[in-house]
Amino acid sequence: MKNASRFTMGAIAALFLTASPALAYEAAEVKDGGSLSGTVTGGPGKAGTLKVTKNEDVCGKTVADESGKVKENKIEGAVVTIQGIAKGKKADTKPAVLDNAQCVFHPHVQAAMVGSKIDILNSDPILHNSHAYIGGKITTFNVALPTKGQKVTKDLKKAGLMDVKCDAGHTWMKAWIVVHDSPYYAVTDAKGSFKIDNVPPGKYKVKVWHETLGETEKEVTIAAKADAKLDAALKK
Amino acid sequence: MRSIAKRERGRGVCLGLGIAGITVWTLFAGADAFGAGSEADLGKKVYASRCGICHGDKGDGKGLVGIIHRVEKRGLTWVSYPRDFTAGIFKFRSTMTGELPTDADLERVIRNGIPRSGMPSHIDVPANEIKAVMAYIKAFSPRWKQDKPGKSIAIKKPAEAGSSASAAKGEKIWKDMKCWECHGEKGLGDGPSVATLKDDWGDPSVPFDFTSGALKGGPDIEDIYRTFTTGVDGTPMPSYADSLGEADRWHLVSYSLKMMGKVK
Repeated sequence: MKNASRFTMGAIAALFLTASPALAYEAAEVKDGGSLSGTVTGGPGKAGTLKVTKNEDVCGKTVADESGKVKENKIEGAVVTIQGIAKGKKADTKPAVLDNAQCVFHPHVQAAMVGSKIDILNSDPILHNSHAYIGGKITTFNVALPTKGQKVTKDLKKAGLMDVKCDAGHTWMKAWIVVHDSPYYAVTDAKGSFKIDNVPPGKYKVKVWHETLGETEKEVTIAAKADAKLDAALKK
Repeated sequence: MRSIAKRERGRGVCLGLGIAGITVWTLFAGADAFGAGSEADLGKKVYASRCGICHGDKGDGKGLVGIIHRVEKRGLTWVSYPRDFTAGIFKFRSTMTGELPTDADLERVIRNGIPRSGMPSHIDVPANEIKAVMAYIKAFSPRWKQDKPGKSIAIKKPAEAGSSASAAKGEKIWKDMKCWECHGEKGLGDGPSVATLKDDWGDPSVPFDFTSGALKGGPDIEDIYRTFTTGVDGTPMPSYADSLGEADRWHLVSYSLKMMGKVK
């Protein structure tokens, strides 16, 4: 009996600890905000094509492999997130977009804030089926896009790493969405660079993630009205 | 002066929390005697006697049985394993795609079983045992602590659902919505995408052969509507809630009944 009750208490404590989501983000004016910018480097990259095995008339014979876009050691499509900001700049109210176009997800990698919406579009005259997972295996939505011009809007309810595939026979299709708990995120451009602005001054942990080149965490101090530099290297 | 007052207040808060803690502790310790602890024991017992042989002691679907159902059709073979509860993925839900099922959903599956899957009916199990075993099953996946179950969709069957007029409309929708890509033009489960379909465990996934009529999600017309609307999580079957209007989904239900030979 005593053990059972202790177990119950433990379970309840665990429930409160894990169930309490990251405190709801609060938008407020950022006084003397600083910024964070830098370059993500590393490799090796992967430049190639993926073979199309269905609907060649719409998709073409091959599509570009976007899983490792590296040019002169600069990584495109790495996601930088500042951790642990509960109060700060206003989040973008525009929904994120995931377009199925010529049997490729556009964009291939993006970041968005938890609680925002995502518009899933079909620009192809064929069936697509956007099946999104969070944290690897849990289906977060699986929606049918049978016709051209179809739009389905979903909520990004949970923070975490989402990956999207197409079950309609387009096995090469893949997209990544980093759903972050604050609007402090960026995706690196073709030069590997990024910038996150309007950050409340402070000391933060920063995560840098890439789908095939791994991830790293750094600590950075962002001073008021100043640009802090963060260069990160990723290696497979 | 001020700092002393602060400390005093702090001590008060501590004492208050302490009392609240003791009260909570007493409540739960006391509840044991009235059966709160014994539900966990009961759930464990029911699971061990009814579920564990297939779903495994750890709830990972790796019990003694292994492959529980095998289908061979048109030179392809599909196998089903007992559900892995640790993944927190549930196929038969009245909740939207990606959401946890309600207790009523779980209970329906436990009570009625699932055709073509080896999952038997447990109509003989008393309500308190089903309730206890549901709680036990939920403990296998951390997802039940992180997420809340979704809300059941509303199901309001229109009068024309199941009529041949509705089925005729459904036939066109079947074509336009490209259901045939997986399920085949005649609903035999032989569409052009079949070979690439995989479930969340990486195993080949078999699209439903409507002519068999053995619906996993339940035999009623409302059950079919529910599956079209919420999808089957863990499999490639998507939700059509956002892609197709309610009336059209009912026409699709009518057409699927026609393929099953239940509508002329």
